[in-house]
Order: sequence, then C-alpha cells, then structure tokens
Amino acid sequence: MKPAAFEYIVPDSLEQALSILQEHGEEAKILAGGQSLVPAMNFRMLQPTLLVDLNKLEELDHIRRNEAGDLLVGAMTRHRRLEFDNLVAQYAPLLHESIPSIAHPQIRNRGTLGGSLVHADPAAELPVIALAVDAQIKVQSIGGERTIPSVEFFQGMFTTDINPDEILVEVAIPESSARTGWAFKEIARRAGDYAMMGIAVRITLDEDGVCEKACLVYLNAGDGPMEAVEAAKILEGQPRDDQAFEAAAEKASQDEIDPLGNMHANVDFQRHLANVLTLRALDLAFQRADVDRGENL
Amino acid sequence: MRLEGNVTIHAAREKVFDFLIDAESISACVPGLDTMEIIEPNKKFHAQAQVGLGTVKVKFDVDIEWVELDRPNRALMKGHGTAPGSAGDVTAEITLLDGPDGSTEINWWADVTIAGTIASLASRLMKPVSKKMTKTFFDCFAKQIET
Amino acid sequence: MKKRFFGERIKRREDPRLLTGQALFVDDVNLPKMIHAAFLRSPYAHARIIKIDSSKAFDHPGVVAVYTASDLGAYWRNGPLLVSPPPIENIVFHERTQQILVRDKVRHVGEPIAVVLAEDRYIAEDAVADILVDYEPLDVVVDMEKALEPQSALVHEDLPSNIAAHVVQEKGNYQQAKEKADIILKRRLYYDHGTAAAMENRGIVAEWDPKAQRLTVWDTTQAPIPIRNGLASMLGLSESQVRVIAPFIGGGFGPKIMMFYPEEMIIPWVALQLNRPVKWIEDRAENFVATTQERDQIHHAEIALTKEGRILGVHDVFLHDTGAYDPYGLTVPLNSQCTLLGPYDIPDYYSEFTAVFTNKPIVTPYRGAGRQHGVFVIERLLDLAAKELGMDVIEIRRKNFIKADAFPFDNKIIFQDFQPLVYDSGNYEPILDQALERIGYIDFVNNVQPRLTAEGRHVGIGVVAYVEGTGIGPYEGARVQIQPSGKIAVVTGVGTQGQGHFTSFAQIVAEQLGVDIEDVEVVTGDTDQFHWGTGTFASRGAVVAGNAINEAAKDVRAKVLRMASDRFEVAEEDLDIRGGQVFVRGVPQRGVSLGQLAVEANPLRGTVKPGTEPGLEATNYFGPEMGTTASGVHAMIVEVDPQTMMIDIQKFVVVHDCGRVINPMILDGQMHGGVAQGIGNAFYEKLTFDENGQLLNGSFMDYLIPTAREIPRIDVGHEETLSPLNPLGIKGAGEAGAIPVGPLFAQAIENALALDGFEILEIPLSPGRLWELVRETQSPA
Repeated sequence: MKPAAFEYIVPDSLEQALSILQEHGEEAKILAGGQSLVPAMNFRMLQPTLLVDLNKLEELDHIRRNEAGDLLVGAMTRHRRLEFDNLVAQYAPLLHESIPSIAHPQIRNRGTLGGSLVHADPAAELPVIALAVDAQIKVQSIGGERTIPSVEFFQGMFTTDINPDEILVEVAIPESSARTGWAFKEIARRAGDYAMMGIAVRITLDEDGVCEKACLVYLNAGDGPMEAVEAAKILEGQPRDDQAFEAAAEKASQDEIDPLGNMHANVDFQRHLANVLTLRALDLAFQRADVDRGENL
Repeated sequence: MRLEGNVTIHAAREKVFDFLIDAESISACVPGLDTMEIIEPNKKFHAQAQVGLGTVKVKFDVDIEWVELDRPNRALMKGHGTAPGSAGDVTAEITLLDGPDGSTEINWWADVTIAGTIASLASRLMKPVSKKMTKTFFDCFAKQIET
Repeated sequence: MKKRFFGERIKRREDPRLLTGQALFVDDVNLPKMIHAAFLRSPYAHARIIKIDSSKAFDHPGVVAVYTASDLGAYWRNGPLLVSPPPIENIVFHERTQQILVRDKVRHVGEPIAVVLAEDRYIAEDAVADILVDYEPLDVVVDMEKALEPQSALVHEDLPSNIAAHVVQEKGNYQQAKEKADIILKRRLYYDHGTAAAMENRGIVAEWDPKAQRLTVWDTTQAPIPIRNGLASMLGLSESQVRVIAPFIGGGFGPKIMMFYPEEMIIPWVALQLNRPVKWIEDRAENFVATTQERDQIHHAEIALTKEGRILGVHDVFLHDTGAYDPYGLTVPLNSQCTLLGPYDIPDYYSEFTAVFTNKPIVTPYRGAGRQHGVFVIERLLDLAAKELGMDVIEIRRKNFIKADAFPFDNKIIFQDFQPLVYDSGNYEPILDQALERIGYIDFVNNVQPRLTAEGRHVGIGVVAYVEGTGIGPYEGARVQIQPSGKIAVVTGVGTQGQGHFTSFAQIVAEQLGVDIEDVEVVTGDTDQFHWGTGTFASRGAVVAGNAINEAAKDVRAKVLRMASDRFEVAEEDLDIRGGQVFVRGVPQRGVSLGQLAVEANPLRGTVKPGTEPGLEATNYFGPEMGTTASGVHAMIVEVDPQTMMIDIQKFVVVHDCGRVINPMILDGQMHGGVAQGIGNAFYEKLTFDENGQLLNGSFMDYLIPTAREIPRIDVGHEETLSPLNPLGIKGAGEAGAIPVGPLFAQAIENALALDGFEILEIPLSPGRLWELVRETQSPA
C-alpha cells in the first residue's frame, strides 16, 4: 500500500498553481484534503505523475458574505470549519446540518469543500447539498474565471464540468428566502460510513403555508446527486399534507432516483429507505418553514 | 458480472461487422484508449487504456483477441487486462441481425470479471463504469459509422 | 492486614508504555542494512500459473533480489500441519497445507507468488507491479453446497472431491430419543464469522548474525516457541541458534497463532540467503486475504423435546468452509460440534460435519473459534421450541441447565484437545439470575415493554447462555527469580497481545511471594528467556501459564522459607513473608529482605550445602489433565426502527463465570472487547465474496467493524465457580464476550419486532437483510 512515485509541488499562490496546471494538464492532480485521492494513490489505483498541493493557499480558505447576501466559501475550507462556523449555521443551515454526517472528525479535519465537489462521488454529502441550495461554483484558470450553477457542474459519477487547467476556487450559496424550511437525513450502516441513502430537502412556503418551491436531492441514488424534480412538483402548490408527502416520496423513490445497489443495501432497500427518509425530511422541513412563517406549533 | 444490450445502427451488416473488428476504426471509440497495437490484423490487439470515470481512472494493459469470426453474423471476443494488483477478463459476443430500413441490430453481451485490488475496493463502481463505458462506445460507434 | 493483589482491580501496568508509544512492536525494529520485502499475490482465486517473468523487476534501482517458487530449490515446501485430526472413529481428514510460494496453481486470492527484496518498501512495491505472471483462470469453488456437487471444480485435484474432512460424533442414541418426543423442530441455520481485523497486521523482522551464527526473528506471533522450533528445523539450525521474539502485538485473536504463514517461512530464509536483515510488514489490503479468517457453516439441525420443554436430543448435520487449505486441522468445526451442547443436559446427540475446501482464504480459529456457530444453533432451537410450547425463553433454559450437583459432567464426545468433553464444574442458575437482575428482566417484560409497545415503539429483550471450553493443555512453564535488588523476575514462554499479562501474572507472583506488584517484572514471548511452551490461544494464558507461574512462585517461596528457617533457626511454619521481607512471625525485627536472601543464596566465596541450587529461583510447569469449562449469560435490550431496521442497543449485560478472578478490571476489559467483536459479527461484519472468489470488501471502507459509536456501555457481573483442575481454580475468559452475541441479537430483534412467523436463522444481520426477512415473512413467496 505504497503509492507509485510522483512529483510534488506546493505553490505559494493561486496564480502559480494555475500556471502549473496550464503546463501539465491532465498529468497533474490537485491535492486538497486528500481524503479520497491519497487512499486511491496508496492502492495504486491512481498514479498521477504530479501532485499540486493547494494547502498553502490561504486565499482559498474563507467564509464570508457579500453584499447580495450570498455566503461565499473558499474551496480549501475544511469540513470541520464548516461544521462550527456561525455564518454557515445561520445562512446555510442545510449545509450546517449535513456536515456531521460526513465521515469522522479525523476526515473532516482534512477534507475540503472544493475537494469533495470536484471529486463528485455520488455517495458524498456536499454535492447533494450544493444542488439543493443552488450553489454557484466558481472555477478559475490562467485564462480567467467562470461561474457554474451546481445543476450544470455535476455531470455524473466522478465527473464535473471542470477542465484540467481549472481550479475550483469558491462556492457561493444564495441566501434563502423567507419561510424556507430544510432537512438533511441519511442512513449509514455505522456513524460516518457512506450512507445507504440520503436526502436533502428545501422547501419555501407562502404566507398561507402553501409550498411555493420544493427541492429534493438524494445521495447514493444514482450516478451523481439525484434531484427529484417531479416529486417537487407534486409538493408545489400544496399545503403541509400527508398524502402529498406520500405521493412525492413514492414518485421520487420509485421513479426519479436510480440507485445502483451495493453489498450494504440492494436497490429495493435503497428505494425503500429513500421513501422513508423523504417522509421524515419533508415533515421536518415543513415544520421548520412553519416556524419561520411565525406559525406557533 | 454480465452486461448486455442492443443497439440499432443505420448501416449494412457487412459494414458494421468490418468496422467492429477493425482496430483503426474502433480505436476512436474505445473510451480512455491511450495506445492500440495490432498484433495480428483483424484478430489480435494490444492496448493501453484508462478505465474509469471522471477523475477516477485506472491504467490497464489489455490483450484482445477475436476468437470466433463469422462475417457478418457473429463475433466472439476475449480480452485480458492487467493493472497494478488487479486483473480483468472479458468475454463478449456480438450478434448482428438485419434491422428495418437497411439498418443493423447489434445484440451484445459481455462477461466481465475483475480480480484483485479493484474488485476488493471498488466493487460499487464496477457496474456504473461498465455501463457508462459501453454506452460511450456504442454512441461513438453509431456516430462514426453512420457518417 | 496483608496487602492483597490476587483478585484486585489493579490498573494494567503495561498501559502507560502502550499509550505513550513506548512499547516495542515488530515494525519498530529497525536494523542497519535492513531490506524490505513485498509480496506479489494472486489476484485470482483459482488459476494455473503458466509463466512468471520477474526480469523487469530488476529495472528498479534498489531491488536486491526476487524469489519465486522455482528459486527456492529444496527449501520450497508446504507449511506443517499444526493440529492433527482427533482420535475419532471413521474420521476422514485430508491434509493440504499452504505453499511457501505458489508453484503451479493458486487456490485463493492473496496467495503469495513471489517476494521482492529492496532497499525500501516503496521500491519493493514498484518492482512487484512489474512482475508479469501468465495465469490460466480456472472455475472457482466458492459456495460450499455447490462445491460438493459432482461436477464442481476441485480445489485440490489429487482428491476425488472438495471434502476436506468428515466427522461423526454421537452421544446416546438420537433416533430413540426422537421417538419419545412430543415436539420436533427442524431448521436450516446459517452462521458466518468474519475476519479478526486486529489493530496491528502481521509483521516479521529476521536477522542472521554470521559471527554469532544466530538467527533472531521478531514476529507478531501468539506462539513464539513453536515458531522457533519449526524455523530451526526448516532451516537446519539448532534450536539454540534461533531466537524468536514476540514483542507487544496489537491484537492476536487467533489468526496469529503458530500458523507458519508463508511469510513466516520465507522471510528468515531470505535473511540467511542475503545475509541482511529483512523486514516485512503486512498491510491491511494483504491482511484481508493473506491472514487466516473464520467463515460460514450451514447447519441442518433438529431438536426433540417433551411437551414440558425438556430436551431429549439434538441432531445436527453441518458443512464447514475450511478455505483453500486446512493447516489447523479440525479445531474450528470440533468446537462448533462440542459447544453446541452448551450449559444444557442433552441426553442424546448426533453431530456430523463435512469440512469443505473452497477457493477462499484459509479458515483457522478466530476468537470463539467455531463456538459461536454451535451456540447459535442450540440457542435458536431453544427459542423456537419455547415459542412452539408457549414457554418463556428463560424458563426453557433454566429447565435444561445441567444441575449444580451434576459436575463433573461427561458429554461423552471428544473436544478440540482430544480429551473427552467433560465439564469440570459449573453453576448456571446464579449466573442467569444475576443477568436477569442486572438487565431488569421482570420489570422490562411486565411494565416497560408493554408501555413502549403501546407508544408504537419496538423494543425487545434477549437472554442467551453458553459455555466455553477453555484452558486446554498441553502445558506451559515459567521461571521465577528473586533478584538481589529484591525485584522478582518472571519469565514465561507465551506471547502477549494485549491480555494484560504483565499485570495479572505479576498479581499471582506478588500474592505468593508477599511483594508489591511493582516489584514483579514479567517477560513474555522471548525464546531466549524461556523456551518451553505452546502459546496464547484457546483462552488458556491465565489458566495454563498463570498456574505454571504460580507453581514456580510456590517453589521460590519454599526456598525462601527453607533458607530463612536455617538463618533464623526457626521452623518454616513460624515464618511469614510480607512487604518484601521474610521474618519470624510476630517478631518483625527478626527478618531479612528477600533481596538480601537472594544475595546470600548466590555466594561468591565459601561453600554451599551439597545439593543446594544457587539463587532464589525456580522453574516449573503446569499441564492440566483437560480443559476447564467457563460459562455465562448475555442479555440485551434493543430498539429497532421498523422502517429503516436500524438498531439502538439500550442495555447490554454480561455475567460470566471463569472461576477465581485474578483481576476483575482486566476481565471486564476482556468481556468488553469480546462483546464488541461479537456485535461486529452479529450486525456489521461480513466478508463478501463474489462468484469468482473475489473479496468485495477488502478494506475498512466496506468491511464494517463496529466503532466506539456502535458499542454500548457493557455491564459485567461475575460469578466464581472454581475449577478443580488447577490449584488457582481459574478458567479462561478470552473468548467468552464474543461467543453468544449472534443468537442474542436474533432473539432480541425477533422480540422487538414481534411479528408472527418471523424467524431469524442466520448471522450476520444487517438493516437490509432484516428488511428482506420481514418482507418474506409478511408476503411469503
């Protein structure tokens, strides 16, 4: 379990990192937290010739708000910082709620937001959250920067819209509108394992408690973060209603997700869990939205 | 792991068959292919390819042989590949039938076995990777031959 | 008041060293000019080797040597058979042991084919990746039942079938018992046990000193002395030329017993060939396929009872997966066969097993060593019988317990030590009563559970019983010496892998010699210090080595008393030893320190009495006539989420009887660790092989060992029924925590879900599997 030989560079600036990538293209791999890359290298499943270590780039480790109210999170921000940051808790509560489900504290101490998004593991939490909160993903190359909506960024298992000469630098999370409720639920064999199934839900109610907008995204339910658009439509225009919840859960779990099944949960069980989790998550999300609506529950 | 599928290609059977067993034409469609060396024309090949998805790809050294060729009806292929600590074996059969309007219907199945490190670490990825790769291949194949 | 050590909760003396990184493990051994080994292992489970080309391996600067089977010449061999078949009539046993390096055919994934020696492990692994092997893959034997079909491929082609062994043992006459029965229940039961996953993988460092003409081997073995003796014999050296050191080891659990793994045979040989120290450290990926494991058995079991719930007989026929080779003989299935009888008086018993070769890693004992499988069968049968008879699960057990006055109790079959399975002593009802008390059984069943059920919650209780044959022979030895400093040196041959030997052995000696435990220094696992003995396994360390140490300490005590009696001219009976002093009873000022006495026992001038041995030292041995039988009861309260089938263990109780307790704190720790592994076995761990014999979960990402988050607080109680088989009255405790957890889960989860017709007949479980089983119950196919 020793990696094959590789070159290793630690750039001092984003500029330098980008020009190295420009020069080496696909031969180079970016080392962020290393929580997926390094094990794969140790098993020799990946044998990059060059590692570009971003860990010295402090400019990529930040959490702040801009004037528009977006929460801006640097790509090298560790999960552990997200877990305990007050701005995240206040302005991205769904993200905040999901972090403790990401592996173990030791992994959260190293793993980064950008690393997880670029790796695009369908069983990972952060791509699902990004999609659910409509995160805007900023990538940069020597030639300039571009911002990609999450829905376009994720293109399947381990596949994103990022080019080999680009680095993900920042994620912008738009501020939620009023009367928005959220919930993140997942079921893993052990605390910290890849979940057998997981869901992130975000709903916005109107002043009468009718759902204006719903978004349901599932993890480990296909070859990327899986959004259940039809299920959301079932909920939209409906007040809090068990029948609507059940219809949405049924739609999402039976028709919209495409779980692959594995040794821990076969496809049928994954769909069943998706159904159960959808009901539980919707219940909690509507409750929270109602609280935000000033409903005394 | 057994995979199977069928695709319809808008081209005559002979053309499809010849295209399938020709290393040059196929090279363009095998996802992740780095090099392809012809050991025996239309029969034996040696290839280096990156197998995987997105950022997770493993370099394989692959020997491929068409062990049975019945032009333009059927072809049986055996492949053996190695990667560090791992090995992969494929047996695949392609059957060609006349489809409507001069098209050809390709029915295929493949038995894929993966041994060693990849089997023990990446079993959850094997099916999606295989699915994705065959889809990429046939999409490209159809495009190439139809133009 | 004399200060007591034996029986006290004394903190483990070795822990500060272990916890601060000061203890020596094999990987800490670094020697000048040392080279590193890496193995090329088969990715295939069953394949013929056509050709090996290692020429490219030498392209890497720093590669020193590459060996394949053909390079070994006369040293190529199969490993020894460690445990021969027991003396049972009409037994069939085919001995097939592992190859040092594969010559013609690989029989499981991970079998070693070549070894590369290089200046560091990185280079060695680079070179391994460049060795080319042509394989001809063969049909793979994975499933035990299919392996026995006539058309199956053969793991060993020189045998007519994949049968490795066949054994029938009988007590009384089951058929006659069955005729008298009011009810008969028959089930197919499946029990799968996993890999030990010790924190430390295996490792070996070997160094040949040409000037001293001595070989030193540091090895993560549970049995350094048999390894030394075997290596001497294989390498043509005298035993005194070989020193094997088993330093601190991060967990043994069975797979580190005197296996003679291929690596253990080849690394010392390479050190001799190359005249350089060699290190090999197993990595986790290797451990999953190259270290032995335990696996599954399929039982077809039948129980015959009276309508009052009294067991008349049990009939059991089972298959046992032994893997590609069977170097450990039949220990595991014999344990299953014997332990099935449990704490119950089963008058008639028929047990038949077939051990089957498969293309999977070798099966040897892992904590519990097949006992789990047997206990699962009898405990499940009793639960099903109770349900059938409308009896309480407690009542049916109590009714069938062997009575306290029935010991020694002869089960009339042969145990793993080849002695008759006779329970030396036991008293099961108080254990059960204490467990019921601690779990709050009556209150739970009468009050708590009905209330929770009414709230729509699914909370269940389970209570199971078991016995464990422990402390088997043949023998262990020890040397105890009082040094001039007054400190006591204790050496014994067994290895230590975390059992707390440095504390519990010291407690025994401190008690005998009246010294403080801090003055007792224990050395284990170094054949230069003590070279007679077998090893640490079968819950025997405390029983056999502990008693040997006690005997040696008694001898030293006798020497002290004899010398002091001469010195003070008083009778030995009038002397007392306490606080490191021996003195005339009642006259503390007429005394001498043990250290001073030791100086006087080893004079530099003058004469000693003819026949006197120098020093205050003694060596003694202990060999029990047969194993002792420990026993216990586990109880658990568990909540099940009926939608997700996730579980929450709310209470876990162990009450255990291992005779006289040396150190209750260490014993509690043994139970905690065992229960953790038992919970892993019951609900998390499963080695998943595909139809090609590939292990699909060869990492801790997918092989789920429970963590601190999954293990509940465990409440441990003790009973003490002394063993008549050794002077200390102790029984083994190493495996007990792990043994009955499977059937405990089955019973408690069935109780929690409370579904008509729902039966759990397999272990391990998982949420996904439980969901399927419930679905099958609710809508049978």
